Amino acid sequence: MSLSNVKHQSRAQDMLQRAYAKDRLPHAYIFHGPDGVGKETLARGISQLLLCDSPIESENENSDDKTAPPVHSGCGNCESCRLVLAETHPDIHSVYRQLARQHPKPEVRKRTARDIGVDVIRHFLVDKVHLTPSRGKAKIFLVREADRITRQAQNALLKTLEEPPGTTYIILLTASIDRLLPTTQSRCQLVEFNALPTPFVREKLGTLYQQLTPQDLDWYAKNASGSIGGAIEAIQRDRLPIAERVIDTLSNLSERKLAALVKEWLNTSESATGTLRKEDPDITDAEAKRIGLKIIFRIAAAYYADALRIKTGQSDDLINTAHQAKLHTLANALNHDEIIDRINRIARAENQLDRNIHAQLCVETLLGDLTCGVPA
Amino acid sequence: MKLRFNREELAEALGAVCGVASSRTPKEILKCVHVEVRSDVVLLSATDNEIGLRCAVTQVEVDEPGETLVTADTLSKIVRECPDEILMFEVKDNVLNIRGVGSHFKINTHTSTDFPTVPDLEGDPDFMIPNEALAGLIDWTVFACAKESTRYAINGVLWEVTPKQLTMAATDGRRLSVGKMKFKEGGAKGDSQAIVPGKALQLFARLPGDANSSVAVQIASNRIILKVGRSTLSSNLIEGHFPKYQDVVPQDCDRVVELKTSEFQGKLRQAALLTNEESKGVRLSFAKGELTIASRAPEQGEATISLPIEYAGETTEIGFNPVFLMDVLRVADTDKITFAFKEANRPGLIKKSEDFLHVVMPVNLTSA
Repeated sequence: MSLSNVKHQSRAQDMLQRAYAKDRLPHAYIFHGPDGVGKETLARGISQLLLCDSPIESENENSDDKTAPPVHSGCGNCESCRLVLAETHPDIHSVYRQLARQHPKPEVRKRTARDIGVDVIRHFLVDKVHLTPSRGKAKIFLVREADRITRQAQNALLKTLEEPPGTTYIILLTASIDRLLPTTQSRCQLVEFNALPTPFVREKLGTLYQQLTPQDLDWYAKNASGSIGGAIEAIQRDRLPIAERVIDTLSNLSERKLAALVKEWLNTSESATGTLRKEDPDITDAEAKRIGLKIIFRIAAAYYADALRIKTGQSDDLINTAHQAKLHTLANALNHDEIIDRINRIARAENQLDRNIHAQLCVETLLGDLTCGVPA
Repeated sequence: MKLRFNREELAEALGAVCGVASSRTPKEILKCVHVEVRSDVVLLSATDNEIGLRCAVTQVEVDEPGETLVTADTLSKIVRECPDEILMFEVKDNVLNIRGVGSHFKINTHTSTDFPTVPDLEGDPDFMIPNEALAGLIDWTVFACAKESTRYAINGVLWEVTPKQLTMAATDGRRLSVGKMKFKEGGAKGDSQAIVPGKALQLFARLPGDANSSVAVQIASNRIILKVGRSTLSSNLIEGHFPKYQDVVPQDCDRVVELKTSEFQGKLRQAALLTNEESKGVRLSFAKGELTIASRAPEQGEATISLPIEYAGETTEIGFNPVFLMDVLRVADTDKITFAFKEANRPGLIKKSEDFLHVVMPVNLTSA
């Protein structure tokens, strides 16, 4: 988990390294960017560095920038580093919504922990900030899914973010920074993380999942939009068969079968959600449905994007390489604008899901649009 | 690791250590107790990342030293439920085997290197203090700490150490307790200051220890370590500035009365029966030779309690929260206390002796 292992995030890495070298690390950060691209890994790496008894310095191999600063990182051998790696270091406090289950007040424990509420923020962050660090050097608070901190909780946190006592560092991790209040954002240094390059994701997956065929790995890597975390989750939840089902319906679109297709998509979405409901009891049925449908919508959008690639002569970059024939049929049947229009419609449907539109209605409209196309 | 324990001593040490191991924590490892077996002693330690406790168990016969990490609650229950005098412990393939007469338990262990070290006294202590004296100081102050105040610095007890004396102070904004103790022998190495969380001191007060023994104290920038007998307690400190409490202690209280602690306490308790959330005050009327305590609860009734006192000063009426007065009388283990005051809108000063004083703010009774 050493810092030099975080690849392709040189902007974030260099920014932190420069601040560290000058001993001017601000005490509050927001790490924002897509899920699964190394935000928490880098945050843990920085924590390890800050707590390490004898930090080491190495050359920056990842950055193309010749003026990039050297990489400081934790030694990995001292007791501090060992505890950080074992995730038992007493001065690293992870804050996440499920912590509500450990709250001393029974009424807080009973609530569903969909958000990071004010009780959690007060008890696990604001109160703890005022104690001295256990091992001496600093104390670090990592808040996962910071966009889920409620408005009230963000307000309760403002004063602490502004001037935490002693050597305290607070790192908020989020995939949607716009859900954080402007008052929270303005009190933190923002660090942006980028999607990772697909070849890099493919290489990582190759080392992690040697049992999968190269074709499958290709598909997972290309479909992950630059998120290793996303790709790993897709593999663990076995999304490839789901994609097959979605593509199957898309290649069989017809007005007469519309009702059956809608049903098929709703069923597929249920299998895409899989055991998520059981693993995370705080997710509501509606939310689980939304997650499942979004997975399907993305697969569908990628399918149409492939058709567009064929149309524009970029056949080498296809995601769904296994479905060349179907894609060619689709590309021949539709013109350029029609394909773009369909991708837009899928995007709009995804958007509507976030606004709590009825799931079945959304799927019906979308499949209808995809079948009939746009009235001219 | 292989050894035999005297069950009773082990049970006592485990009882203390389990008080620290968290029962509710996001980190599973903090539910564990670390057992370190040396050639002639076994060290049990637990921590909740704020407070750490190490207890030594000496009545052991060690066959093979080693260390292990097991869930504190499970181990403590097993040891408590076994009737045997001697228990045998042995770790084989990451499983702890506990054997008594006719009983055999196997407990899964955790990786002991992942457990954060519980600090021990390193080098010489800053000072030594008789256990009884320290217990007295803690008793006198810790009840006055604020609980869950957003002024974090007053959620603990301030320790001020000078080469000659130790002063402890605690306040919640409405009352202040200060206790002092002059070092009889040795004295401290130098000046230091720390705000110690009330929780840690309460835990320390409950530790098994001999009243005549001494406590070794070490204060570092981020923690305090207290060692008494076979136990070592360490705690994080609270960061922040403790208010300048000296300024709050009134210097001009010219009306002084000596009160019998238990009698005053009893009368207060009677008067407090007729107070409620809206009228939390009792009215103390000091007149020549007599103190009248009056209280009133709207829509319930009122009480007037009087007791003879030796008072020759001006007649004064002053209101106090009876809970605050009873709190301080409860910890004052003397027959008599001195009560000093000035006017109805000025704080009262209660003294047990020269070294123990308590300031309590009056309540406004004009509307009641």
